[in-house]
Amino acid sequence: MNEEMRVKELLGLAARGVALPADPGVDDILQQADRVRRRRRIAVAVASAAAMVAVGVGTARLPASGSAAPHDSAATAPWTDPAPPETGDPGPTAGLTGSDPSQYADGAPSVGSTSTAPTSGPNVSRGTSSGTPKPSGTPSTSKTGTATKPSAPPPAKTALDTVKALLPTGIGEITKKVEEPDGPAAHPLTGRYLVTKNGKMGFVDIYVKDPKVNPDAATMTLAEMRAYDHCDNSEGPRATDCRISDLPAGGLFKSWTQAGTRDTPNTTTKRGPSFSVLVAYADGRSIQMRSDAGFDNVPGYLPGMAQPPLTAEQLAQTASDLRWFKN
Amino acid sequence: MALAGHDEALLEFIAARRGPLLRSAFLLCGDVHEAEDLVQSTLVKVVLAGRRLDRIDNIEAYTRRTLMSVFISSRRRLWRREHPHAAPPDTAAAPGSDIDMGLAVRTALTQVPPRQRAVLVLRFWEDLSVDETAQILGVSPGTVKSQSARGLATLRTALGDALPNAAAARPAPEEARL
Repeated sequence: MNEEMRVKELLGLAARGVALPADPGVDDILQQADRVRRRRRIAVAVASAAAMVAVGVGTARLPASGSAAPHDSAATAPWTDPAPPETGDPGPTAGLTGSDPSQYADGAPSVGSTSTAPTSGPNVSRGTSSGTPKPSGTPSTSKTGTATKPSAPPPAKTALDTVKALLPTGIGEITKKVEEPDGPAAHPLTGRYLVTKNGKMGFVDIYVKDPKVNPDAATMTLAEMRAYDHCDNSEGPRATDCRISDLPAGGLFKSWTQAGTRDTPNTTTKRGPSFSVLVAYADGRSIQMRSDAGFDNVPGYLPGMAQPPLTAEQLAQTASDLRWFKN
Repeated sequence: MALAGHDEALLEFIAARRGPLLRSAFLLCGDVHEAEDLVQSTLVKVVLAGRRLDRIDNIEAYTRRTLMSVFISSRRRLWRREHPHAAPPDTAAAPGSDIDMGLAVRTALTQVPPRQRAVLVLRFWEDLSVDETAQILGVSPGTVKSQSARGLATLRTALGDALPNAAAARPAPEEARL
């Protein structure tokens, strides 16, 4: 018996005994698909209604503000998305999004998914720390800005603002957060934050678990985290330099390094090195962070940095900050 | 109804393919409940793609691709990665009967990284060629070959004599370290 036949036979033995449901479950599948369709329709309807309301409010308030509105461009400028996608690029959803078949490519970020990146790609600068950016070339912003938003309250602090405040200064411009796909189960700060500096792009992945915020979120126990060996059982880039230490109150600190695939033949995705840390506390809170130099040849990303945006020391210090759990 | 033309075919397809898909999903994830979830998610996506089915030449391939994608995506989330066994189950050490061997293979599969596992399932369980597997997974044939070799090597290490080392007769290519 050749090897292929033997492997097939062994797989058959492994799959033997899997009880097939008597009911093929077609109704369940169709009903679930209908629910998804309905949700999509509602989402589209709500978005359309919101857009209509926004436009209506904007046009209603403009005449009351005086007569200074300079032509039609001023009427729409304050309410216009400052940076619509320019190329149709949905932006990086790198392994954090759902399951479009196009996502599978040696750990590459998804290129084709449009489900979770409604805003522009990472090449478009957004959300700087100085406030909402204005698109270059937007006409007459000062007059229309005051005319249409005379007493707008300061915007609520976003997750991006919080992350910017907690990451070290000087690492580059933090431009975008990609939502983690766990939905309500995900901590608000969890996600991918792109870091751009000198035309190069790295990113910081952040996974926060806080039972007070998401009591139902699946997580590992401290013992499981301690037992998990990132160096022996990693996926994709192989991890090295795994270290583990105990925190005073029964917590755990782990760190590891991944060399990236820039020098690896036979890989379609070239990515730079990364540092990772995991800080877990006895009360169930934990944070895992990866400072990653980024990708070299993945659409939606600028070329990667030579080194990760945060050094290993910065990453360890940042992840140990208890302010991640202040909500 | 726009999908009326496809509904019957879809229903037949789902009814006919759910069982085989469940077995493949089980080999991928090693848990029957998770396998059911994977298949359910996969088939829902297939139904949702119904409007585009006219443009999908091969529903079977589309379904396989979706299953693999759903599986790989589920494994990409760091906090949902499989937990390692503190001590490997001893069924892998001394397989005897077919039942023991089946358990041993399941245990061995958990030691194979998900992408390599996907390759093994497609190549050896679904009997797909290297090119077909590469197309479904969106990688090059060379990647399929290397991941297949590495996955088999892991299985061989775990299963010992139960899996003949055919590769030993020929020099193995240098593993591409990912």
